[in-house]
Amino acid sequence: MPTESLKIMPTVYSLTLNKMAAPMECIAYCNIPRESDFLSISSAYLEDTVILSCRRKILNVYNLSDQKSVKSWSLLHGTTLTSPVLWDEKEERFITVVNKRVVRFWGKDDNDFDKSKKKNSNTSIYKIMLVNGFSPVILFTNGKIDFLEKVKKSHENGILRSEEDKIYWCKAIAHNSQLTVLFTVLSEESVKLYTNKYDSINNRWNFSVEKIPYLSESTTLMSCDFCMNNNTSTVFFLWSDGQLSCYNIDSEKDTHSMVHKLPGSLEQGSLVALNDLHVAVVGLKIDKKEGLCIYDTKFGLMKSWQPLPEQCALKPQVCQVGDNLFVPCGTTVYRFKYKCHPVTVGSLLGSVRSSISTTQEFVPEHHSWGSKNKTSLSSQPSCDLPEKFSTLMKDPMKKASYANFRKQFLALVDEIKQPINHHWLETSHMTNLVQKLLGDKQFVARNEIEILINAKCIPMSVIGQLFECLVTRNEVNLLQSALTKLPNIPESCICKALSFFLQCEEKQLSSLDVTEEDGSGKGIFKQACPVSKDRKTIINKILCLPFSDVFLLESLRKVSFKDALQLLEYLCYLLNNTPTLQTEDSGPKLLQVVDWLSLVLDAHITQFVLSPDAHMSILKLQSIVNRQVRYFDGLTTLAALLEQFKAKSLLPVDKKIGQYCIEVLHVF
Amino acid sequence: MMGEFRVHHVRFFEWTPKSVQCMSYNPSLKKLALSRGDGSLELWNVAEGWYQEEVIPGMKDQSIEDLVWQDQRLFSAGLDGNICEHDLTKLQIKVSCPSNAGPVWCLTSNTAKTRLAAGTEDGCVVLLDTDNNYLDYITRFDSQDSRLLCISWHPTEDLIVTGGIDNIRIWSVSSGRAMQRLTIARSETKKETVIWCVAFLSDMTIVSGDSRGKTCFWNGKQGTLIKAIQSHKGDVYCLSVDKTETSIVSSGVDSSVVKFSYIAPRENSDWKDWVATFVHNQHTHDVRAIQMIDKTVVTGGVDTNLIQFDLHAPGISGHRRDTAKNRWKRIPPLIQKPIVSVAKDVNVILLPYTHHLDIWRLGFTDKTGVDGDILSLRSNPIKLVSMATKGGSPIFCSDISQDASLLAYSDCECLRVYRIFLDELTSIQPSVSMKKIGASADSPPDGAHCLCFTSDNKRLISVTNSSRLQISSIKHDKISTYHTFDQMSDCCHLLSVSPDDKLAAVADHNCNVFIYHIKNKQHVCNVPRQSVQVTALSFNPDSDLLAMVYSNQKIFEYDVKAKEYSDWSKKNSHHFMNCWLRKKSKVYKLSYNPSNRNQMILNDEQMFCILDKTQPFPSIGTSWTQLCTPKSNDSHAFHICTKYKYLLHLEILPENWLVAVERPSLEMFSSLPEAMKRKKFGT
Repeated sequence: MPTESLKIMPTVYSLTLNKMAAPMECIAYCNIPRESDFLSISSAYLEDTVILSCRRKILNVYNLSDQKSVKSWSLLHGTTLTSPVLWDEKEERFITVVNKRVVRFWGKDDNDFDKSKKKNSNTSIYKIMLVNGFSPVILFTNGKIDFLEKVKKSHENGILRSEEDKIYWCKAIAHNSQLTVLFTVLSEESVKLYTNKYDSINNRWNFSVEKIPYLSESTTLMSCDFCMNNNTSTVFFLWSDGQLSCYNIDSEKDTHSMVHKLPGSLEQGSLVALNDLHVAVVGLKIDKKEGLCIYDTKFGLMKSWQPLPEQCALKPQVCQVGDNLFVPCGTTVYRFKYKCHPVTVGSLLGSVRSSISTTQEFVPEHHSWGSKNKTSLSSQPSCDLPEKFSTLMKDPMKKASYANFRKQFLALVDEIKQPINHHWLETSHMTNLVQKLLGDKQFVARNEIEILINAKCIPMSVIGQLFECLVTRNEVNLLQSALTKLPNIPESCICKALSFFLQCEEKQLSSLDVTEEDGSGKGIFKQACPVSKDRKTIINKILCLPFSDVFLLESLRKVSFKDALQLLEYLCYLLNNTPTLQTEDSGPKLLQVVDWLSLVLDAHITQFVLSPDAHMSILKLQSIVNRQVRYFDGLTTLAALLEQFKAKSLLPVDKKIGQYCIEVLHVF
Repeated sequence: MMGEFRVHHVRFFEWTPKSVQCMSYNPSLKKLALSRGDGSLELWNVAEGWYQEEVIPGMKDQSIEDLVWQDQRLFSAGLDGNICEHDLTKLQIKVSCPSNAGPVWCLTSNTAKTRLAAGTEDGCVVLLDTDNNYLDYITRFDSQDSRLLCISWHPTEDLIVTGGIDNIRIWSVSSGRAMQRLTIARSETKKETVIWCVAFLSDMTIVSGDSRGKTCFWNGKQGTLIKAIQSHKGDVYCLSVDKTETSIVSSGVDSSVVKFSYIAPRENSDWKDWVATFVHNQHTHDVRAIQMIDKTVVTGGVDTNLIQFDLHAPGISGHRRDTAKNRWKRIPPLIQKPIVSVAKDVNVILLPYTHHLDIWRLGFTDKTGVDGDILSLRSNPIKLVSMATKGGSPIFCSDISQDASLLAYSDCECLRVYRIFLDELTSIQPSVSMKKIGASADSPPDGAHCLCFTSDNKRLISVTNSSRLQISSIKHDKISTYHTFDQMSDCCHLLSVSPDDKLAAVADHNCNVFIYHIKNKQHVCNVPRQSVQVTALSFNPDSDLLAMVYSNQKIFEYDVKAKEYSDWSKKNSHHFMNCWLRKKSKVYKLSYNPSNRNQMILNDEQMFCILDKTQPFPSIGTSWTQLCTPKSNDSHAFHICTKYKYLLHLEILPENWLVAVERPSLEMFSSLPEAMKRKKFGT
């Protein structure tokens, strides 16, 4: 389980079409003697065929479409394949390595494996690999690399001298039309990535080593794979704590970066890179079920997850042929068919949301967006926003001057204010920024907060903090503008502000710009207002705010009894002095006042009953209510009379006569 | 304001009209005879603007499938298998002759009006002799295998064409043999084609309408089809030929009326052809009968209305403004006679149906209100009696005495009188008992067409089925004829008795009004004869004036003592507004207001009008709308209320009470069967 706080880092997705993996279907594909015997499944001589290589006993070619075994070779006892069987398209032959020393190749029509051609090597062979356009390459266990033709030569003195340096993984690629063999060697403190490039002019292999440190002491490398697209060549590393990192072999600099924390737990697993965006990881445990997942490395999303039909006895392995993934489990190889189809940002966003709702706790954090992606996005206007955020967030006070900061800040606010960038408001960048502004003790962020409030650029999630902060700092004016400007103020903040304004000193309130005309003096029953004029204006404003009674009741309970009593008195006053019909927007409507009264009474009913201070107010309220009820009763009577009058002056409607009636008829 | 009334608004009279079955027009009398689905027969005077002169109610299970006029004689044929001649004075069947070949579907007459030919269920044509006022069976033709549904006699030759299932046959009357057999194609192989109507034209062209919706024109000489026009979407039930035989109209299930004209399809061409044009689609249901009357086409069918459409109105040119003019008129199927009676003293109402009578006590209230108010009732209306007629015979007329102690009704044969005992009439459950008043053996009263009790309940004045005025006396629970006046006319249809029981007035279809003195048993005088007949008449409360409304909508008041028209009548009778005279529906009830002797109340089925004799008539050019929307500064004699639609009866009671029996059209037509589905714009 990830320990970091799990928040989604919002990203501005480019509108390029990406490949997306759809849910997979799983079928039992073929049988193997033992899971431990499974070597590989790779493509064979036809597009529809795959060859299954096991260490012992069998060597079969299957049709992909109908799972039929079309070719089969049996291995004699004592014959152990040590490298997966490959199909050499150029020479139309199968190649494999037997017992680490003998390379064997045979045509597809040769029926007897034992009669296949042999080439012996003196040095033990790790793997034989094929790259399109090049002749087969052999990687020896000592790190030496050579072509198949030269297998009989001596290959002593490889780059791996030490006994402990064992090749963990290797892959041959054509990197920039240069034959390159990558292999990793696990050492104690790091993973060594050897890059061997073939210099065809000098007929030499040049190698370089990169040390990739373990993420932590406890982690070990689980699996790695290489993937190359148009401009980047990436090696993906899957670590034992479920982290996925990648290494760019092109760039000169330190380009090993953490990509993602995979959801779920990982004990044993393998990875295969499907394309530059997706990797397939087998062995991932979600809900205690081991499964195969396709993971989007760009967006950090699990695209699809399929539990394995049976438990793997060993470390799960996965092979990719075309759009099929093969996973051996027990004595069966299962085929998972996945589909890659173009996807738009919209559908991606949709799947982001759905993935949040289903596996919210597994949503990975974006540790870094990755420099390569940033550069690709920088052409779009709004993508420099994260940069701006990060600049602002990166210790604005110490390095840059305040003027500089302010300049940047204003620029950012200007950007965010635009409707196209409104989605940034609710991002953690913004939240972090506002939190930083609020939380900073030394830095006077009042002006910035004011700007944000005026621009309505306060994320919903920090409104509570904002109010808390403003109340503690006695920022009367800011609080007032926050109340007037911000939409959707939570009920708890309303109550907080209300308590604050009820308690704060008159002196502070005098700084408020009271623009409203006080219309309360017009009431028939003149009654001394329990609060001052300034206070009244701001409280009226609060009372007019929209609220949900359920939440407000909850929040009102937290208001102190003293404040509640004061509020009650003021509401009594309002009830008595608010005209029933308010034409201009001069204060809370009578209905709002009544709603507040009920809620205040409800929230503190016990104390109102028990406390002798409140009794006078309650009695007064009752008399006011009684008077109002009598008044409205009178109105009801009047309404009935008026209704009758209206009915009489209406156009005549056809009356239901039925079978018989006596009616009055005037003949004119 | 003219009057403030409290109205017993009665809607529980469930009088329902029946569908029109067949029609026959008599051009010399200008009368249309039509039969309805219940076997009833109606005579309409077309010349006087569709005044319904007589209704002969049908016997139970009687049907009339076809009607034929021969001069003044009316013959009918029905599924009972008889061909009947109707006595139009007595309103009974005069002679009946069996077809001897099962039910009769169709009837036709030769041009000389000496023979009748009937098409029967058995598939043979039955020939009858009607010469010399007889109705005798002559012979029958060879029978074919299926029923004959329609028949037509050639205008000049002795040839008859009949239509049945899948074929049309031409018969020689002289030999009784079929001369031609025209086979009709089928639209579906297994669905036989029914020929519903045929017509024989002078040039031997045969026109037929069939169940495929086609109107076919045949060459009768060769038996070949000239033209078949798919004129209708459903069965073609009826067709009618005009006098010139150049235009034919047809209609049927799809209720559209189509006209076929024999015209040259192109200009300056000698060759002529039958060309169909759509006429109208005003009926809501199947059209069963169609009749060309002069230049108009009259149709009737399941929706019970008659629709007269003027084929040669100015709108025929197709000008839109002209078509909006009244080219068509709907004649509602209502009886143009007061059939409901009210016992004024006790608020009891008699509702006669064809085969039974209902007596209801009306509701009571002591409240008043403003115009339009529905007053709360102290007591609800209650049905006191529901009495079926003796032997299921249909009711011709009925009356209840003013105190509801006597009830009389007459079927076609005899008059029946009952005494009603009503106890605690105003209570929730009044007790009712009835006792028949028997006719005295030596002088029983005749069957009546009009009935009226005198106010003292001692006499019953009636117009007998032989069209005489008869006074019967009710004594010791026996009714006996007291006096029968000499016959002065053979077609009396209206009777009014003066409130003082001294005078009686009788009107007939020949536009006469006879005034008799009942006590003196004398004929007093006749009202000067007008060119049109009276549709309603009534004495004033002082019994010295007789008011009459004529079928041309004019109202006259006759002073019986002075034996001349009253001063009011002399002054006003020639100053009726044009819109009043153009009014289509006939005033069928007229009465004086007992509370105001200067007021007459007259009503037709669409409106009622209070005519104030003290006020001047409006100018002749006043429009109907102006007449109906009174202005306070311009008060005139006519005060019209159109609140009740299909007002079946309006009775004025003392103290400005009214009884209005309304039959809303929606309820009246709610029992109609489903019509053929028709696409309507906007639905």
